[in-house]
Amino acid sequence: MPLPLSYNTFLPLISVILFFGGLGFYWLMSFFILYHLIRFGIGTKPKQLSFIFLFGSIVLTLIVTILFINLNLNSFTKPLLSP
Amino acid sequence: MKAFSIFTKSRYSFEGKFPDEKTIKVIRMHWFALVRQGLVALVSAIPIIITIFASGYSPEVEIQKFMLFLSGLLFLYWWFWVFYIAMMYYLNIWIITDHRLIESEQLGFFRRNYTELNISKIQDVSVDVEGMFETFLNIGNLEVQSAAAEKKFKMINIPEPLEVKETIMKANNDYLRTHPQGVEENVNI
Repeated sequence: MPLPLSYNTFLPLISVILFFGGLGFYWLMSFFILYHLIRFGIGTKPKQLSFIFLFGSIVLTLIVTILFINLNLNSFTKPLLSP
Repeated sequence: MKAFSIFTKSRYSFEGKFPDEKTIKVIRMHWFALVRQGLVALVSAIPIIITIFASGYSPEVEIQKFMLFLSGLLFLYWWFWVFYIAMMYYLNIWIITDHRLIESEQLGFFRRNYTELNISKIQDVSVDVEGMFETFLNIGNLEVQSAAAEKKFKMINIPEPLEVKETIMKANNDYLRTHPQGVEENVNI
């Protein structure tokens, strides 16, 4: 008889992938936005906008990091199949 | 290193501006053109907020924490999306200088369309205001017909199109008055 899989075992793995992959991709794309706004933007508004975007991105990244740290990653070490 | 030179000389300086060229007007689409995209962005934030509240009703603490983490990440991408819309708005511009008309169209991250027309080549400028909101908010389309180019120079959903038309005509007249011999060959001198 197959043993039931616990979703708790997958959550840390998904969380790690989402955290590193998601944030890595986010900051790459953010660099493109900042670069375009600063280089091609005419006038002061695009520069102000890029500053607001950067500030918000840093704050949100910190929040996501804190939420990630709060996750219980110890369950990652548990076996996939519960006895 | 030109690609990394981000600081411009003055408020209305732009890449490719000639040293003796004067920027008369920088035009962007009217803010009303952003309303639809703004509403979609606001509505799309609702599921994220629901996820944050719903996480409180989760039976397991681990799931609750995971949902909060996920909604935080989704909110981060929502933030990116809002500023992507804003970036596209701010980088789609028309510039009127004392020498030329420039259209800089941002079609994506790595796709730009840059068109320019010498101000002396302008033959005809027409304005089209159509629609209830457009009439109330004074939004319209402006079309510049040049002497040689087959492609028309179009400004879409711009604020105060009649005023812009006057500015273009004045710049054209000033250029023709100061350059009776025609198009200036080297504007750097």
